[in-house]
Amino acid sequence: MNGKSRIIRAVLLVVFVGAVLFGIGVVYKLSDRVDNIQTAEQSDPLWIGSQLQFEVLRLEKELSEVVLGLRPPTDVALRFNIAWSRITILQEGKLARLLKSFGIDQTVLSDLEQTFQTVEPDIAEFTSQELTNDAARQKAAKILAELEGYDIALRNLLVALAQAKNSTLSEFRTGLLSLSHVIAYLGTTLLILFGIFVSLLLLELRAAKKRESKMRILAEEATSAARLKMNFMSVVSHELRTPLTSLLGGLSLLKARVGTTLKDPAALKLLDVADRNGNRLLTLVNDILDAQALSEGKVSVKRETVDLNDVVTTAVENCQVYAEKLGVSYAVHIPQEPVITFTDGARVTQILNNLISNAAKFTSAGDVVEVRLTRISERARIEVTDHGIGIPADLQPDIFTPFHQINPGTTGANKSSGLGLSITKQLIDLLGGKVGFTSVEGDGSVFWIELDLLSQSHLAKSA
Amino acid sequence: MRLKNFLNAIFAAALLALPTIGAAQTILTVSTPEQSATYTLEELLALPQTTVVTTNDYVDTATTFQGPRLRAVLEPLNIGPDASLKMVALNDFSSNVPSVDAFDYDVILAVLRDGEPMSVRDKGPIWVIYPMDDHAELRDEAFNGRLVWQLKTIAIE
Repeated sequence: MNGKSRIIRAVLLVVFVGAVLFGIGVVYKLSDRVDNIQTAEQSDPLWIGSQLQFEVLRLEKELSEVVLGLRPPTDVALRFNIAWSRITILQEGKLARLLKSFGIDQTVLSDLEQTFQTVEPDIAEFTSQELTNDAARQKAAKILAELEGYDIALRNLLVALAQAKNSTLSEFRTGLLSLSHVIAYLGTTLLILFGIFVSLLLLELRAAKKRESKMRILAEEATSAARLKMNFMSVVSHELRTPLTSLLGGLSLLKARVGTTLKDPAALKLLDVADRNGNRLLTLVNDILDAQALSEGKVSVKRETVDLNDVVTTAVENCQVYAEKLGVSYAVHIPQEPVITFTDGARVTQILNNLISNAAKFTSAGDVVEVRLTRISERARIEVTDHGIGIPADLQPDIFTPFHQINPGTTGANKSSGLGLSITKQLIDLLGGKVGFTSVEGDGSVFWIELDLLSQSHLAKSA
Repeated sequence: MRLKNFLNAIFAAALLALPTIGAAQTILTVSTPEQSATYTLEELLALPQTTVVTTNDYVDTATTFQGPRLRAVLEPLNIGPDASLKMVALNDFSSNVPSVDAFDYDVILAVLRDGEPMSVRDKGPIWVIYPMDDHAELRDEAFNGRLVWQLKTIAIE
């Protein structure tokens, strides 16, 4: 990542955090406002105030009716108490707080309460019902006179309440207006946040793309290098094989011609060494060519019905000379019946050559390498068992990859390319079989391959 | 001396008892189109009592209210939770309350405030009280209008 994009990222991040903080602040403020609105809409004081006025008027009306003799004075006490209760309601709880916060002159309430207290004994007399009608009328008239003037005072209280209520409402409206502004800010903030998010994403995407293309170039370079190496090897091997073949041919001709006449054993020994090393070189060159052909998929398979008994026998015979030189012999176990498969006999022989010669190579002199062919239901299994140095557990996973060979130091005399098992694996895969091994370091190894048997129905058909 | 004290005590007890006898009047009527029931203050106090400590818009601090559950006067008349109760106060103010409130919450017909009977001047004798402090959702404005004070009748029409 270069410095410029890093700075851009840092700036975007700072803006992002700022926008988030701003959004949180706005939401906090918003909930404050909502609380205000809830307070504003609760308990309409105007309604409660008008109830007081209404009840005082009803009291006055009832008293007037008593004065006029239209009704008995018994219910006056109830009306009086109800009117009084309207005063206490305005003096207690939220309404008292509201009136105070509105800054309304409440003297009318305390005055009215005082007047109520003065007329209370008169009202009490109404209930005792010991009054004559005339006396009751006089009392009612007296109380009415006491209440004179409160109508207007109460109306003024209501007007003040209404004004206060209106101003609260207009505050509420202003609040709503600023709320809509706040919501607009919030929306903008959200948009900015979204924009920042998208640009961060784009930046990230671009960086990822850059990284990816860099990686791809690296990978291409690596594979082309490997291909170049392989090509070079195969060209060199091709070029080597032709002169090598002539050399070996010449050597064997020479050996045949002078073998009987030459009396110097040292000279004969030199010829043998030259022949052996030439053959080793040829094997190596062939291995490299095989590996290259396999890796490029150029190896073709010619399938035919093959009796694996013959293949095993041939492979063991091929390796007999090599094994005798190492002081190793083979014990071959084959069943008494034909084991027919539909495969490429030459390739299976090549695979077995590899395994059998490997077993001779990695075991100690005097050992007997067992080669066993068995049938397991529909499959044929060939096991090659040696009692050599075995394969260390940590090397076992890599055994089938190219150029892996254990302990080259101690096997110096029997050095090979390290390509054999890799070729074996690729060949058996090509033939649709399986290869595997079990090995204990120091005790030896068992390498096996499995191939599908030709089914009876197929046999019958071809017959 | 002792006798005089005793006589004084009896006199005082008689004086205290007097207003009680005088107050033995119906303060609540619950009615449906089919039947109705009436209650005196004593009868309401004789019902199983529930105490609700709560604030509302009309008291200064958390106040202890005591009285029977609203449910307790609805059930004898087979009033279920799907009715609408018309609650009428002494001043003829009326409020329609869904009866489901009485079944969802401990709504009480408070007759004692801080252990004392309530006078008409002080929103008595019956004040419908919702346990607003125990249930946040009851603090809504809609429930404020259901705190009927000076309750006189509950009617189903």
